[in-house]
Amino acid sequence: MKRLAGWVLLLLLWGTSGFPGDLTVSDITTRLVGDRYDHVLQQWKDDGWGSPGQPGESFFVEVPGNWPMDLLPGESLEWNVEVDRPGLYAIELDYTVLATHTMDIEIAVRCNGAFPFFEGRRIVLQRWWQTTESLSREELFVRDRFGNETIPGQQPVGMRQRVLLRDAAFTQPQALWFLLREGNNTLSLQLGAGSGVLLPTLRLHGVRLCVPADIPSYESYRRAHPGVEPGSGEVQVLEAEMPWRKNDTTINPVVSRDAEVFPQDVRCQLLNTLGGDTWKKSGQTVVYRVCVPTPGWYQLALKFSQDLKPNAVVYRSLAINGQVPFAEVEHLAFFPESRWKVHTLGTAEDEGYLFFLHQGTNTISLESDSRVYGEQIDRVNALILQLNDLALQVRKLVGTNIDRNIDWEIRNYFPGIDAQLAEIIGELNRLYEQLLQKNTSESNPAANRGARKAQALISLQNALDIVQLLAQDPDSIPRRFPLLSEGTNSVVRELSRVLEEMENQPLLLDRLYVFPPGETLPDEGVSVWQRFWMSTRRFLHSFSTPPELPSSGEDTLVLHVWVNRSRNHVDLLQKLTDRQFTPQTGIQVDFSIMPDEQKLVLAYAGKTSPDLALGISNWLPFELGIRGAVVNLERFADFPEVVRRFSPGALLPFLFEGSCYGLPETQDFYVLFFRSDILSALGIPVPGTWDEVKQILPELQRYGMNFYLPIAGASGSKPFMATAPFLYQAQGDFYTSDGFETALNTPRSLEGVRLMTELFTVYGLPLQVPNFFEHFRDGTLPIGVSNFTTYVQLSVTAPELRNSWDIALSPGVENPDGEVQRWQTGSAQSVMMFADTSRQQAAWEFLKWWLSAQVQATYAQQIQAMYGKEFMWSSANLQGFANSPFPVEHRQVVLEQWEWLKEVPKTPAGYMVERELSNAWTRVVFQGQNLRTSVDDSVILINREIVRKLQEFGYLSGTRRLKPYHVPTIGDVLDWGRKDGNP
Amino acid sequence: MATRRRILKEEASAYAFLAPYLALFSIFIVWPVMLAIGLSFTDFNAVQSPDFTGLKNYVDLLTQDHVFMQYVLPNTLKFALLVGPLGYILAFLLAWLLAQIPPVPRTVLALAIYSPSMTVGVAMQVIWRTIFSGDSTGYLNSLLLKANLITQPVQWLQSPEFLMPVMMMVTIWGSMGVGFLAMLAGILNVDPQMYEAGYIDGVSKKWQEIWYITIPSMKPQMLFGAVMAVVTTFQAGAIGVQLSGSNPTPQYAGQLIVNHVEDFGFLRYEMGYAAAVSVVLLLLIWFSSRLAWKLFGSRE
Repeated sequence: MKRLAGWVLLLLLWGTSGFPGDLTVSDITTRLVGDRYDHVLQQWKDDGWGSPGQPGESFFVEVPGNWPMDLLPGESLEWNVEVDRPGLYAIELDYTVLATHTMDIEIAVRCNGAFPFFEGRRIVLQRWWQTTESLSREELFVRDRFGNETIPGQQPVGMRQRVLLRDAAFTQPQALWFLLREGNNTLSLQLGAGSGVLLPTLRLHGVRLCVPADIPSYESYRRAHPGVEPGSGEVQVLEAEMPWRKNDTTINPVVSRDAEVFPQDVRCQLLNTLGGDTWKKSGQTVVYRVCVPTPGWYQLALKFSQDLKPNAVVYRSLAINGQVPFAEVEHLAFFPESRWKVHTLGTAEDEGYLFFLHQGTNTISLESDSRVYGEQIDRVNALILQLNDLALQVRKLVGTNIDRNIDWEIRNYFPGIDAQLAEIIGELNRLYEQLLQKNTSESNPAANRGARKAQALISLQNALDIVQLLAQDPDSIPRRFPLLSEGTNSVVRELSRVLEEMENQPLLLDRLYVFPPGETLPDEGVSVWQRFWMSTRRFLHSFSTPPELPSSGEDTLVLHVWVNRSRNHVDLLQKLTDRQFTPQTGIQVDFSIMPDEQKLVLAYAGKTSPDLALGISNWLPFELGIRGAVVNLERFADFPEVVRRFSPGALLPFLFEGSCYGLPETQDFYVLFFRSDILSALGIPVPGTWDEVKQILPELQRYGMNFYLPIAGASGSKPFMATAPFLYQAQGDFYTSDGFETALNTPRSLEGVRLMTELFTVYGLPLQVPNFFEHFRDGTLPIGVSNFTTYVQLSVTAPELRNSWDIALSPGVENPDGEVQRWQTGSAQSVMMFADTSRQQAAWEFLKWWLSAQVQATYAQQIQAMYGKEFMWSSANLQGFANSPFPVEHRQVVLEQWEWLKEVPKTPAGYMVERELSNAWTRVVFQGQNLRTSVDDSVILINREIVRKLQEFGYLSGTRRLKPYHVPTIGDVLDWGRKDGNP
Repeated sequence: MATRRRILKEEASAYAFLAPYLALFSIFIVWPVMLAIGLSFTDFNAVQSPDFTGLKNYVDLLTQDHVFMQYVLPNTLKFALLVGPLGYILAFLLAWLLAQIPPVPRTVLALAIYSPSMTVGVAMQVIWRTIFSGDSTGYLNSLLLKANLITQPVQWLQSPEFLMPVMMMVTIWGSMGVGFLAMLAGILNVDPQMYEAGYIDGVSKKWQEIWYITIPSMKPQMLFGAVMAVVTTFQAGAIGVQLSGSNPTPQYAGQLIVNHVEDFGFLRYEMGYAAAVSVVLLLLIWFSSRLAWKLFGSRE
C-alpha cells in the first residue's frame, strides 16, 4: 500500500513537471491564437459596450482611402479612421472578386494592431458563381450519351457587392462586431495567400464601419409600404435546380426519382431538384430571379422535401433583393416531411406572408442557416474544450496505462470535481431544453412527435447520461477514462456529433412559386396509383438498353479510353475533352468506366483492349510492358519534354531496360501530420528526423499518446510504400548494381531495416492501427506520417479540427554531411497505352494534353468545384499541382516533400523483395528474431526468386549471367529529361 | 435395327432432359478443367500466347518451390485434416442433437446454424476482423486486457502463430453448410421402426443407437456430407487472405493451395504454373473424395 502511494506520488510529480505551468490546452490555444469571438463579445457587453447609436438608429462611418484599389494575394492594407461615437460596429466591405480560381477569398482583420478575436484571423468573403447565362434547360443540362442530364460547369461572377463581415463558419447570429474606441483607430485588412498566384484577387470600392438597422417585424414591414396594391399576373414557377447564382460551387442539382418531382422521366436521369446534402453548410446561398409585371404584394411558396435530417427541423433564411424583408423569414423552419410538400410561406394561421416586389426583375435568395443555433454552437464548443481539459488533467494524474487495481480518491486531486461535473450536467440540461424547443413548434404539433428522436437530441442525451454516470462516482473517472474524451462513445464525441447536427441543414428543393395573393397553386399531388405506375414503368425500362446518342462524325478518329475511377471523374473528363481536346485536334475520345483493372489483362488477351487506360495502379504498366502488351512511350520524339513535368522518382516503377511503359497521373504524398493544438500544449516540438521522433516519444507516451507510421496501417504484408522509405533514407538500396542480387543485407540497407524495426521493438510505436484518422481525431495519435487520404479526410470530415492540425516534411535520417534524407514513396495512379492500338500518335497527343499542367490544374479546380472538397485532385504534374486549389502553405510542404520522392523500381521479381522485407520485419517485431539472421533468411529467398525470374526473361542461362539487368535510377530519368525535346 | 431405333427413341427423352445439364456442365466445369490441365503443361504469362514446356511446371513444383513444400502443402493438409473431419463430426453431432427436439425449435435452430455458411464473406469483415482486431479496441484484445490476462494487444491476424488457429476456428464456425442439412434430413428419415427393433434386440444406450442404426441407415447423406466437407476445406483459401488482409498471408502462415494459385496466377503472372498447382489441388480433392466413397459409399 505504501509502495503504491509512493508510485502515485512519483507519477504525479512526474506528470506535472513535464507540463508548462498549470496551463490547460484551451489556455494555451487562447494564448497562441486569441480568444474566441463569443467570449470577447460577452466581455465587451459586460464592460458596458453596445451599439454606438440610439436604439433602432442606423448609421455608418466611411473609412477614408483611395478607392477603388486592387489587392494581390497576401497583401495587406491599413487605414486610420476617426470614430466619434465609440461602441460596437460591424464592418461593411464594398468589393468585387477578381480571382478566377475556386478557392475561398479569405481576409484577416486587425483592429488597432491586433486580432480582436480568433475569428478575425480568417474571414471568408462571399463570392458568386453562375452556371451559365443561357437559361434553357437543354442548354444548361447537356445530356450525356445515355440521355441523362449532366451537371453544368460554373464560372465565378465578378459582381460588386456590399457585405457585412461575418464569421467563416456563418454560425454567429449576426455580423461580427468590432469594438472601436473614441478617436483615432487603425483598421487593417490582409488578403489570404490563396492559391499563391500573384494576380489581383480583390478590388475594394470602399470600407465602412456600420451600425445596421434592425430587421423589422412583419407588421412594420407591411406598414412601411403604404398604398401598395396586390400584385398581378399568373403563378410563376421557378425550377429550383436552375438558380441564377449561388455563393458556393458545391451546391448542385440532384437527381430525384420521386413521382411528385418536376420534371420527371422514367427513362433518363433528370437533375430535377437542388440541394440535399450539397446544400447544408450554413451560409450557402442560392439566388433566383423572378420578373413580375406590376409592383405590389406577392406570395411565395416552396416545394421541398426534408427527410435527410430525420425528426429535426431545418432552417433557411430568406432575402428579397438582397435583404431580409422582415424578422419572421430570417429563420424559416422546415419541418421533417417524408413526402414532397408545397409550403406557402406564412403565419401559423395559414395566412400567407405578402412580399413586396418591384416591377421587373427581383431576386429571391435562400441561405442555409444554422445561425439559429449560433449561441448553442458556441456553448457546445466551450463544453468540448472544458471536457478535453479535464481529460488531460486526469491523464496527467493517472498516466498512460490505466491500472484497474488502483482505487483513486479523485476528490483529493480535483477538489472541485463535483461542482464542475454538476455544472456540466446543468449546462447539458439547459442545452437539451433549448434544442428541444427549437425542434418543436406550436403551430405544427404533428411534427413534434418525433422531436426527441432527432440525432442532436439523442447524442445530447447520451452525453448527459455519461456525465451523470461519472458524476455519481467521480472516483471511477480514471477507470472510465475513455468515456470522457476518447473512444467512439465518449462525451466529447457525442458533443461533436451534436455540433455537426446543428451545423448541417440539408434541404432538397424542387420548385419555387411566386404568385399574387388570391391565386391558387396548381395541385401537384400524386396518388399512390400514379406512383406505383411510374415505378413499374421505370422497372420495365431498366431492361431496355439506354438509348445512346449518335456520335457526330462518321470517319473521325475515336480513341477508346478506360478509366478506373468513379462516374463523377469520367463525366468531367469527357466534358473537358469534348470542350478542349477534340476541337483542337479533331480526335474524339470515348471514355468508359472500368470497375476492375485486372480486366485489362483479360481484355488484352481477348484482343478487346482499349487504346489507353487511366487511373490504374503503378505496377500494372511494368507487368504488362515487360510482356509486350504496352507501348514504350520513350519512342515518341517529345517524350523528354513530358518527362520533365513529373518528379523523376515517380517514374521509376514504369522503367525497364531503357523503356518507359507508363506515366504517373496522380501522386500521393507521405508527410508528417500533427495536431498543433496538442503538441503546443505539451510543449513538444515538431520532429524533423527520426532521432528527434525518438526524443519526443517518451513525452508523448507518458500521456498515453503515440506516433503513427504507415507500417502500422497496413494489414498483412507491409507494402513498399511503408517500408521502402527507411531503406532510402538510410541511403540503402534494394538491388545490387547488376540486378542479380538484392542489396538488402548491405550495411546501409541494414541500418534502414534496423530503424524500421527498432521504432517498434525498442520505442514502442503502435503495431496495428486500422484507422489513423480516428486516432488523430481523438488525440491518441496526435502525430504521424500519413498520406493524401488522411489529408482529404481531415480537410473534409473533421470540422472540429479546423486550424488545429498541420503538415510538415516527413522525418528523415541525417547523413554525415548534415543533410536530412527525407525519401518517401508517393506514386498513386498512372496511365498506359496498349500495344495493339493502331492510333498511337493520337493516343500520345491525348496523353500529352491530359497530363499537361494547365489541363491538370483546370481539372483539379473543376472537380472540386463540382463535387466538393472530397474530390481533391493531387496531380502528378508538378506545375499542375502547384496551380491546384490547395492551401498554399500545405502545397509548399507537399512540393518540397516531392523533391524527396523515390518509388521502388520494378523488377521481374520485385514482389518477392516487397514480401520478404515485410516478412523480415514481421519476424523481428513479432517473433523477436535477430535482425541480421532475419534479413539473411530473406535475402536467400529473394535471390532465388530473382534467379528464377531472370532465367524466365533471358538474363541468365542456368546460373551463367548473359547480360546485366539494369535497375533504373533517378539519374536515368534525369538523363531523359535533359535530352532535347525536339527530334 | 428396328429395336435399336426404338430404344434410341425411348432414351431420347431421357437425353433431352439431361441435355441442359450436360451442356452447362461441359461448358462451365469440364471445359475449364480440361483447359487448366492443358495450360499446366505450358509457360503462360496471361498476356502472350502460351509455350509448351512439358512437365517442367510439375518438376519445378516438386523440386524448386520451397514455399509450396515448406508452407503451403503442410498448411493445407493441417487445415484440411483438422477442419474437415472436425467440421464433419460437429455437423453430424449438431444434426443429431437437433433431430431430438420438436420440429419448430429445430427449424429455427437449423436455420441459425446454417446461416454462417451463407454469410461467411460478409461476416468475416464485420464480425471476425473486429473481434480479432490487433489494436486494443478489438473485442478479444479488449476483453483479455480487461481481465488482465495480457498486457498488450495480441496481433491475432498478423502474427504467424495465431493466424492459422483463427482461420480454423472461423472455418469450423461456418462449416455447417449443405452437408449439415443433408445429414439432418438423413437422420430424420431413419425409420422409427428400426429403433424399436433395436430396442427389442437389446440396444440400451444412445451411442449404440447412433452407431448401429442411425449411421448405417443414412450412408448416402453421410457420404454427401463428407464429400462436401472435403471439397469446401480444400477450397477454403480466401479465409486467410480475408482475415489477414493480404495475399500472401504474413510469413505464409495462412497460405493454402488456393492462395498459392492466386499468388502465381495474378501476382506473378505465371498462369501455367498456377494451373499446375490447381491440378494438384484437383487431384488432392479427388483422392480425398475417393476416401470418403470408400468409407460411406454403398457397395452395389
